[in-house]
Amino acid sequence: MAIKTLKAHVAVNVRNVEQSIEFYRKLFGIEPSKSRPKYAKFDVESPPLNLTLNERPFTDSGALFHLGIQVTSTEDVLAMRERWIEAGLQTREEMQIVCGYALQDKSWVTDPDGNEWEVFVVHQDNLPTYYAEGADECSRQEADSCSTQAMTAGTSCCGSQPEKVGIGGLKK
Amino acid sequence: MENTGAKEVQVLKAHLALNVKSVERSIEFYRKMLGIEPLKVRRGYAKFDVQNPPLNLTLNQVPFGERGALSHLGLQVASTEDVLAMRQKWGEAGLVTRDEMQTNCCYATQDKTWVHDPDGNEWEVFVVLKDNLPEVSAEAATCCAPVAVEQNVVEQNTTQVSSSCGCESSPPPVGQAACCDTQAAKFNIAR
Repeated sequence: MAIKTLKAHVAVNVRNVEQSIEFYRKLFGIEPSKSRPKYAKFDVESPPLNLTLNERPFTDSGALFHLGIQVTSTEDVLAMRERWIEAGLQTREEMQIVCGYALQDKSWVTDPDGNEWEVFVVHQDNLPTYYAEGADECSRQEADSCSTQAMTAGTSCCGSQPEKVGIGGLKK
Repeated sequence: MENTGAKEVQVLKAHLALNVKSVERSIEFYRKMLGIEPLKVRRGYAKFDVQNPPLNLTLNQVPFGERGALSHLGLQVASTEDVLAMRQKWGEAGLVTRDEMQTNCCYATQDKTWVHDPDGNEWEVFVVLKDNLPEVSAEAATCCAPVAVEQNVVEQNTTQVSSSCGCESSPPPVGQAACCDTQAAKFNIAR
């Protein structure tokens, strides 16, 4: 089936989300569509781009957090996943996961240099901030991390939850 | 500021430039992931011109510095007029821009202007005037990004480091050696 994608997604690590919001507001000439503690999203129309800013420690991969392709339905997530598997890529699924303050279904692949790409659909966006405020550190990180790598790298309390991957009856 | 008759800029595509360790391996991966062939392949360089979603993705085989896999980002527009209109907008918003006009990099002739975000990530607005130029030297493959800006620097106080090639189109900071042979030759500066 033909997959209709919406936008490319670029997630960058930032040292200070307020400073970065200020910059990207000027760069794109628009306001962020979502702003939370240590997190912001610019939903750019021209050009189509889903850009998120994530205030988190920089790793060896520098400012690049992860990349993605946004689609309109879970069906398209699964169709892309199918295509990736047929092409010989190894996928990892996260279904009905809340991250970036949005409820999503997604599948991940990793490029030869370790960069993660997700194909994802956003079911419910702009979820409340309690994922970051009041919640314990683990919940907060889960809410704004949006990366299987972050969860499995062992650098956070979320690192020991491999069951996040492959849920939803999508195990190969 | 909006009512000064500022031109509406029609942006074609977002641009994402990744540093890769092996361009062949990465071409293989992105061919599978995107389901398309690269539009342009040169030594140490490849470009995927993705339509769905719109994305200009380039792979640059360069030694990774501390900055990791993200080379730079950009906004591709259709004309030099749009480059200048965006430059104007950025300037009015208080961003510091750096221009590179009629520059040959990534095997294309381009007009562009750059800004950098608070973490040192470079964004360009650019138009491709002539694409698919022949391979002249391996140096060209590592271009298309200004000299890496040290992270955490304050705007207008850009300490430049020589860890990556700064493209032949602009000279290195005063007192610093050229970062590649092309640049050294063009500006008559020692490496």
